[in-house]
Amino acid sequence: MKKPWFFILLSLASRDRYGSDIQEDVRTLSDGDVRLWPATLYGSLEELVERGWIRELDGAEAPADGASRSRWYAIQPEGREALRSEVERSDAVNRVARRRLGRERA
Amino acid sequence: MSPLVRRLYRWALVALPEPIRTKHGDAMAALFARDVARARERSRIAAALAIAAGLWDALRRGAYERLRPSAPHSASPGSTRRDPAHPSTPASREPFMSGLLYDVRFALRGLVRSPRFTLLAVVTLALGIGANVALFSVVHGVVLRPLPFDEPERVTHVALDYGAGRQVTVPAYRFEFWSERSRVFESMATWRHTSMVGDEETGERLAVLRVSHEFLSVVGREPVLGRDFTAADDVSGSSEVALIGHDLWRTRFGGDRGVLGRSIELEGTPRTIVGVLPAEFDFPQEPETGDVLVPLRLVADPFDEGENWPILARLAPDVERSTVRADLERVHAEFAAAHPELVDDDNRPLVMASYQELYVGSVVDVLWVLMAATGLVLVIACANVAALVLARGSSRAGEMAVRAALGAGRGRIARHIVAEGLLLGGAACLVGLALAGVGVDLLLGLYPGKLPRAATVGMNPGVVLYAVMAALLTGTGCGLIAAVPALRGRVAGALRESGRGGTGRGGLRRLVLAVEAAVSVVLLVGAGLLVATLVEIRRVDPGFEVEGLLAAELPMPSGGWESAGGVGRVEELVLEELRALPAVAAAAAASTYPLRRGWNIPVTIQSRPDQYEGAVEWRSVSSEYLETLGVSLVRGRTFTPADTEGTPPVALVNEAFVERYFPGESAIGQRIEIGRYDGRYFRPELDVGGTEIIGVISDVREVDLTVDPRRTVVVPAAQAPAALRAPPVLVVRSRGAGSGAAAAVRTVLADVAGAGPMPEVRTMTEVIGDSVAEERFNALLMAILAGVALLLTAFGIYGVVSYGVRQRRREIGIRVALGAGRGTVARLVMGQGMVPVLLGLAVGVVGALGLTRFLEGLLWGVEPTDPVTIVAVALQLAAVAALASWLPVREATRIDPNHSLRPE
Repeated sequence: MKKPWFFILLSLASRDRYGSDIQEDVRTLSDGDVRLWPATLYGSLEELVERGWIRELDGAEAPADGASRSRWYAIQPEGREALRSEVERSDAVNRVARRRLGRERA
Repeated sequence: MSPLVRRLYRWALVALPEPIRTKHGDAMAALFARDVARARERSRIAAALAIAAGLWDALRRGAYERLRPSAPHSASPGSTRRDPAHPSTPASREPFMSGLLYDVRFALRGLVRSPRFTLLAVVTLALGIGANVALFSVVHGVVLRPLPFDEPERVTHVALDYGAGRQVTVPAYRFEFWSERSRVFESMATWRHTSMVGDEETGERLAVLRVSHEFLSVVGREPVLGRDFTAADDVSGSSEVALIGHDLWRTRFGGDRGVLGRSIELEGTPRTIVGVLPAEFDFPQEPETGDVLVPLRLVADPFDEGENWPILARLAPDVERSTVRADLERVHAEFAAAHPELVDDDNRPLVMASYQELYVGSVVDVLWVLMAATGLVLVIACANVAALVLARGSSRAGEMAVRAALGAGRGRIARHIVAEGLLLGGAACLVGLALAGVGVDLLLGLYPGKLPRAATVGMNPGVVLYAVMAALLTGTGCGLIAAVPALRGRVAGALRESGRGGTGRGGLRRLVLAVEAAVSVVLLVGAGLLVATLVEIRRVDPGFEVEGLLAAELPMPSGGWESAGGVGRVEELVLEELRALPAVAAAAAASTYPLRRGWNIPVTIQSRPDQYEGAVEWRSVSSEYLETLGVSLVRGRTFTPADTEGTPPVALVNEAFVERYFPGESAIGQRIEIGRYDGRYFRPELDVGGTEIIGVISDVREVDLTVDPRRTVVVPAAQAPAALRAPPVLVVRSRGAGSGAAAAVRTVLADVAGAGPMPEVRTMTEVIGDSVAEERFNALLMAILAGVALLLTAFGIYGVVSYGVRQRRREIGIRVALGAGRGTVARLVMGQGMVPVLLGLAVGVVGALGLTRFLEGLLWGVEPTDPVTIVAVALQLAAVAALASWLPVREATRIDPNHSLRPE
């Protein structure tokens, strides 16, 4: 899975968010490693919407706090499913990696 | 964030497909602004990186979005209309690629399949782009880049306005008056660059900037350690202090923070270090950035007009330019009122002036001319590649026609050709950037001496952006030209012609050829004029015998002047030794040698006090000076040992001087007052009651070969006033060529210099060569560019004509079969290349006549419309064109009708 997708899904997995909020959260999540620059961020959001992994909230659904003009996004069951399978896949890889490293050390 | 960056980002967003831009454009721009603002809080560099990253992201994503295989974007909010029970299949597995990606892949495959064409096209374009990028990066570094000051837009030079030109420097008292009275400047400073011995043991010299105390506030830098100079430091008599540069601090003091209070010795004077400059301190106004800053301690003596000072000032925040002008005018008027005695008719006002105006000046002309020339070369490269693409297009006409017949629209075919052009442009951009890297080094290496701010020339985002733009433009340019036939819809014709070889695209190809010829003419004329300039200058008689003349500075004895008995004594001994050398015919000492800077001084004709001149060349010389240089005594006598200290002062003047002040009368016996201007001696000790002219010498071009001989007075060294004395230079006339005089002179001087620095012994031929270095650089570079243009044009002609021959094989075969002679065939084929070339030639000559006036500032002794050059260029191009079309002609005249008429 592409890195931006993974982190956006991960970010939305905790709660609904809007664009710059996602960018911020992703930066924190990745320890400053992943920076979603604007075009990539919004482009990826569109892609994920297209795939049906996330959806954009209607005006009425969006929380009425400070960022009222922003578009809010929510993760969809398909998105959670995709995130889960990605995490499992990387878990499997990590397990193998740990095993091999362990053997090296021994 | 500046509006420019905002606009730039908006432009970059255009890369994205329209729906996504409409929907998210504002949010993206806002987020980008926030990112940049945050980065700015950390540092300028971080902000610059953020800007670059943001722009790159927009462009990359744009490309991705456009190539990305997908359903059309839906712009309505909450738009997941898909059935959640059936997650969509991953888009990347969709079998059909979208249009552009398909075109690119297809074009790539085509290019890979014809490697020779691809290589030729890429190399041609890369040469053009490389030359352009190399020039641009020099122009960018030298001219366009802002100065390395804090808020550089607030920093301005203040200079005397001479209408056409600006004088950078003003007398000290004016500087002081201005800095006290003007209200629009936050700070104002002046400086002088010198080099001083910074280490007595090694003799290592340091670049020292003597600065007035507000200097650092003007450039907007603060010491990273310690303090800035104060007004108290800038008064003579206060303790000797210094600020040291970051590099010096790191290298000599190991970056020790306890360096404050320690001392650094400059020319034997210890100075207390009070601060360390930041690493980013830079001052491009001087050739070397200061290792050390020391207070200038300017004494504003109203009668000292000898030394002049540049002014750099920082404007107070938010001052309008018109306010500054009004303020400068007010102070100017106040000055005239306060010091009527210092103001004459020629009292020039002070005006704001830019660094570029004052320091980059003449270089800018050269750079822009070269930039334009490389642009033209790129046009030719483009035209050539377009012709190549066209030729390939026709050889693939059948394929295209089939594709069209199978339903590919004209647009589709055109798009394919454009995609090919873009791919070529992209590849050429990469190769061109690499070439440009080499080209920049070459340019800087070739440039004689003093390109301002050469250090800041190099690859940077601006330059890369320029390269990308150039590649995009040329890529689409080539593609579009080549796509014209496809757009015109010659499909049916192409299908029909594919069998026989048609001439359908010949017209366009010949047009391309005419354009190339026209552009080549412009470049060749430019190069021709610059070469002619160089030749003209080299033909000038300098007024002395160049062959066999050597020059060197008198070396300081290792123990210093005083221990050796003074400068005069050293000079005497060295001359004695030199004259004793068998390889030396004559030797003399003088205040300077021709084409090297020397003093100029005011002179008044004693009998006519209203006849005076501000800047007459002044030379003091030892005996044997005229013989050594080969300057002839026209009238009167030369100096004798009797003309020495204490005897009546005497002088020689040159013919130019006589012509101006004593036309038609004898100058011998006339009296002049050296150092007197408008009734006043600029230094009181120069008043010796007048000097008698005892002889007239022939003219020497003292300043530059392109400058007519200046009016000159020559005095015996023994009578030179102390104020004008300085260690002399030596001139040596060798006996016969290749007599090893230079080596012998070097041995003598090395003996004197001991462990100290050894002066360079130069031949006058070298000196003259150096004096035309700039002209040689201009001529060489233009000649290279014009040569490349000519070569490319020749390739173009060859391509078009030989292609024509291949296409018309049958026709030629029929003609030969019907009895056409070789001459007829040759004319037929030659015409294909020569007619458009001659048309282009005519257009080019007209164009050149219009354009060469931009070269005027770089020419000397040649008119911009020099008929000789233009005719020579026309003949040269015609000859090259004839040669380039001759090869295919030979091929054509050998066509055997039996072969070419056989059915395919």
